[in-house]
Amino acid sequence: MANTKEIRRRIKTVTNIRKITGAMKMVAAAKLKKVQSRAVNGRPYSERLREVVENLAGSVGNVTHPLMETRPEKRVLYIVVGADRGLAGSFNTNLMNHAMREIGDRDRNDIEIIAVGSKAISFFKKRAFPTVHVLDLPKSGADYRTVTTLSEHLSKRFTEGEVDAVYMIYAKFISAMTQEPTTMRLLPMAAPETSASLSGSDFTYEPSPDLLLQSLLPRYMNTLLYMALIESQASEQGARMSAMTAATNNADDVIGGLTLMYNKARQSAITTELTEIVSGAAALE
Amino acid sequence: MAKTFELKVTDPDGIVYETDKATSLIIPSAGGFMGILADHAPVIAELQLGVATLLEEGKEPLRIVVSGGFVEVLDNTVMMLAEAAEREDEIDTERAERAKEHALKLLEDHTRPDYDRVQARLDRALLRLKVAGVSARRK
Repeated sequence: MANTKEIRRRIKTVTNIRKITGAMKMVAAAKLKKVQSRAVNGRPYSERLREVVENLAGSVGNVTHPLMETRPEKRVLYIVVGADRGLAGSFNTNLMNHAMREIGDRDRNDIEIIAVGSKAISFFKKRAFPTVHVLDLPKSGADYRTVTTLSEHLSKRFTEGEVDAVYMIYAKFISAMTQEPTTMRLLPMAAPETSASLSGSDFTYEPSPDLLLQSLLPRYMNTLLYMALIESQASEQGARMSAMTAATNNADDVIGGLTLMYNKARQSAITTELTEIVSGAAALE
Repeated sequence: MAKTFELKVTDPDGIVYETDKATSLIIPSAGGFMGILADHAPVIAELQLGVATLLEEGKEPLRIVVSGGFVEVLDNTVMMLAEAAEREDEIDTERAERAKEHALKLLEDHTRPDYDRVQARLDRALLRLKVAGVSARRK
C-alpha cells in the first residue's frame, strides 16, 4: 500500500485540479448566459426580417437575385467556426470531424477555408489545405459590423464567380448540454419560402417589392451569418460548461477514493505501531 | 388628444426604443422623408442613413440616428428594423469621433477599392456627432 505522504500529495493535486475545473465551469456558465441574451436580443430583428423577406417573396413571385444563382460547384468555400480555446470536451473534435466529412474527397485545390477561432485555424493549417483564410473575431465575440464585412466579401466573390458555393460549418445550439455540428448553405441563397402570414393585408412597398427584396436579401444573409456565429459561441460555452461539470464530478470521485485509501493506510500504520508496542511490552515481561 | 400608435425600434443588438404612445414619426426612407401618423396604411419601406424624429404624448421629441434597414407599418404598429440605431441621448461621441478620424485617414487614399464604404462610414460618424451635439446644446 502506498505510503500516507504520497497519498496526501495526490489528494492535494486533485483538489487543485478540482478548483480550476470548478472555476472554469462557473465562467463558462456566465459566458453562456451572456451570449444567450445576445441571441435573444437579436432575435426580433432577424425573425422580423425573415418574415418580411418571405412575405415579399410571396408577392414578387419568381424571385431572382445574383446571390441566388445556382452554378455547378467547382470551387467551394467553407467557413468553419471553431472555438478559440480547448477544454470544451469533444466540441472541437466533433466539429472538425464533421467538417472533414463534409469536405469529403473534393480536390483540396478547389476548396477554400475560412477558419474562425484558433482551434479551427491550427487544424486546417496542420493539414496543409492550400487556401486557408483566417477570420479574427473581436474578443467580445461576433459583432454585427464584422459580420457585415465578411458577408460583403463573400457576396462579392460569389457574384464575381470566384467561388460557386459557400457553406458554413458550425455547432448548432440545441441545449446547454447538446450541440450538433451543422452545415448551412449560405450561397447561393435558398429561395425564401413564401409565406402568407402577412399578405392578408395589402402593403404599400417603397420602393417596389422587387427592388426592396434586392436590398433586403443581402441583409438577410448578414443576419443568418450573425445568428450562426452567436449560436456557435453559445454552443462552445455550453460544451465547456458540461465538460467542466463532468471533470469536477470526476475530481470529487477521485478525491473520495484517495481519502478512503489514505485513512486505510493511516489506520494500518497505527495498528502496526500498536502491535509493535504491545509485543515489545510482552517481550519484557 | 391625438391618436397614438405603437412603435418598436430594433437593431441586431436588441431593442433600442419602445413606446405605445407615439403620435408622429418621421423616417428617412430610401425615397425621402416619410411621415407616419396613427392609422397609417400598411407599408414596408427601406430606410437610409438619417435621423428619425419621434413625437410622443407628453414628451420632448426624440431623435434616433438610423442607418439602413427598413420599416414596417401594420395595424397601428410600427416596426423599425435598422442596421444600427442610436437614440440621440445614447450616442457614444467618443466612438463616433474615433470613427470619423479613422475614416478620414483612410480616405486620403483615393484609390481604395472600398472608397464608397469608408465614405458611408464617415457620413454616419458625422451625422452621429451632429445629432449628439445638437442634443447636448439643447439641455
